[in-house]
Amino acid sequence: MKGFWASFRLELCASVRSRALALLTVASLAWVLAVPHVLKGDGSVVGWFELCVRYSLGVVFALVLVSLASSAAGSLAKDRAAKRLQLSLVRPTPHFLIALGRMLALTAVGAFVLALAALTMALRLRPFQADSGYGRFCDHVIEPQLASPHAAVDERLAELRRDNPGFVEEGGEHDIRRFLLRYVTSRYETVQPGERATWTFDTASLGDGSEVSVRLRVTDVFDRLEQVDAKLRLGNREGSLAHVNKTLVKVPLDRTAEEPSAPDVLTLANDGKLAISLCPYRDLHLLVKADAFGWNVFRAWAVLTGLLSVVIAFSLFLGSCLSRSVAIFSVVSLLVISTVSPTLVEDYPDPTGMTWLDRVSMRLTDFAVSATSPLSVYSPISDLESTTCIEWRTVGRSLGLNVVLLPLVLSWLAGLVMVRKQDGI
Amino acid sequence: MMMNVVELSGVRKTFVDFWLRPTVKAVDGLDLQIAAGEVFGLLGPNGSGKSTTIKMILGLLRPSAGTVRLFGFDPRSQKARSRLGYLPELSYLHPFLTARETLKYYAGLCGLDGVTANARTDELLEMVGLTDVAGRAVGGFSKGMARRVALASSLIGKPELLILDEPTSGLDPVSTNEVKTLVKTLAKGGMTILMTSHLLADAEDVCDRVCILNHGSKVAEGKVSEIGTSLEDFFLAKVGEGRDFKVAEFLK
Repeated sequence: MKGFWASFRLELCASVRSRALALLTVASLAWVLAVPHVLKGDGSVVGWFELCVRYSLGVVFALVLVSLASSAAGSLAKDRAAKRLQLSLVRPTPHFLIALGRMLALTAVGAFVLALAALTMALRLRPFQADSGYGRFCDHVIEPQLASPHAAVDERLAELRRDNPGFVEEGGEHDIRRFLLRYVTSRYETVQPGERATWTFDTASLGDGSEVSVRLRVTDVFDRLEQVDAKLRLGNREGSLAHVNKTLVKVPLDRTAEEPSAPDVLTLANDGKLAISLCPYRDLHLLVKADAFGWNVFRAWAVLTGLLSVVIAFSLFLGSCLSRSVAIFSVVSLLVISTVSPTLVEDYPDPTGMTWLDRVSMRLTDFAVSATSPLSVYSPISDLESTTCIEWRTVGRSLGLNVVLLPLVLSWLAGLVMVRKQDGI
Repeated sequence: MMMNVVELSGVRKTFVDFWLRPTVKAVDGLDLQIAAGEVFGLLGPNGSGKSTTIKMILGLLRPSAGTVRLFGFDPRSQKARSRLGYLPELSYLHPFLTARETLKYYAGLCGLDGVTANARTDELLEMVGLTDVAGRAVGGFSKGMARRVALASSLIGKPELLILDEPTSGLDPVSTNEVKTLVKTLAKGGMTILMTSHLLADAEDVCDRVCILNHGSKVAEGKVSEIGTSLEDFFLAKVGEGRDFKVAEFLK
């Protein structure tokens, strides 16, 4: 491990003495402090809070990610081009430890800058949270236990095969399935006036003292939200959905002395004159008060550090086998692809109108989505801004996978590749 | 029987392009043995395959054919690398590190613990005469000073085999003399030394045995004391034929 620490110190020294760390720190802190003065919200407390969190930590993360990915891509590539790397490779330290030390040093630099930015943001938001009372705590999110959308898709696919023979084969089952899945999961459920709707939740973790609320996005055909009037009930807790002035609402459920209903079934009783529509796959959640915002910021920092670590590891691996400029170009391209491809898949047109070229592109985009999913599938910043609790298991998974496992695999591959890339003459 | 520290048998190295087409045959069927405690000179004109041979001995390149053994092991194995020191043709230092940090970095890669690394660093800085400037970044060093840092870093792990690629390149006559004295001292201490040099007088001064390469093949090998003429004459006789520039014709 002495070789690992030597390599770690070398990269840390390079970051400090090249002034990269100082520049990143100053730029990040300046931005976080400037955000509340630069950005204009929609006038609401929630909007301002979301904007502050998203643009403070989001921009700093993007800045740190791109800067350190470029540094990582150049770290081994530059030393190889300058022939310095061969002097390290002939020493008895295993080659993967040389790569791993550099990876973790750059991750430490990023973690430090992110920690400073997160701390500054949290301190900056404290007076606002004290005044408005919003965002001081975060909530665990419990999803409703709905029927698997895939079963519904299978059913619809069987219907299509029966009613239109040859249609599925012609359109391509994979694309039609994707289209149907999107259709099923965005289907709205309507509760007519005087009717009730129920959804089951896993409430086993709820204690007697738990503070529970329901978050839902409601729409009615005439967009007269203020006329919505409904009661929500879960066991011995009840809340009122009335005087709504926005589509996304959080309804606190308070204890009631009335006869308790089933403890795991949420009932929505529409007492108003308008039908209420909502999409349960997407827009209905049970919220249970978790811990303070500061803890959530800490967990978000840990997950972001994990994401940073995997990008740095991949960049360093590319730098071990490609020239610096090609490695940096590849990393930046992959970052763009990882950001853009999920939206592309989501927005892709109706499969029935696809040409073969569309299908090939779709397969490639699908592949890009799955290959870059460690980066794109989960954003702790969106959880932080919506005061959703980032669970400890998510943090553990992110650290285990992105800070330990993937960097180990990538540094092992880098160790194999970099000794083969030594030019001979 | 004396153990061979380096053994090359039937070693060939052909470089290939992206399409795996052979481009340069750098080393062709080289057999070489270097015994423990020897100072061995690998000589040859530019492009004769010296650096390629050294890189194969260091495990930085794989031979296209034949075998390379270092202390009886594969040169890429940790057992071989832990007994090796290497000074490349140019110093290749990290410019932002100080001389002391450079030595401590390589001490770490050699697996030395903190106390030993510090003691060894001080000792080597003293030896190469850089104690006064140990805290300065090597990026600001002159070529000769950088060379001395590189030499010290090659010795940090107390190697049994020291490979010196043009060790006196860029050094003034005084420093050159110091390096030669150092090589002789290290050899007296039992260290095996493999060096390449264009300066045949230097090789003649310090080497026990030399091997002359030309176009990737061995053209001569033997003890310096048995050559019977100066090494320069011997060298020119072996590789100089047909290489004279047509200066007189050009001037006409």
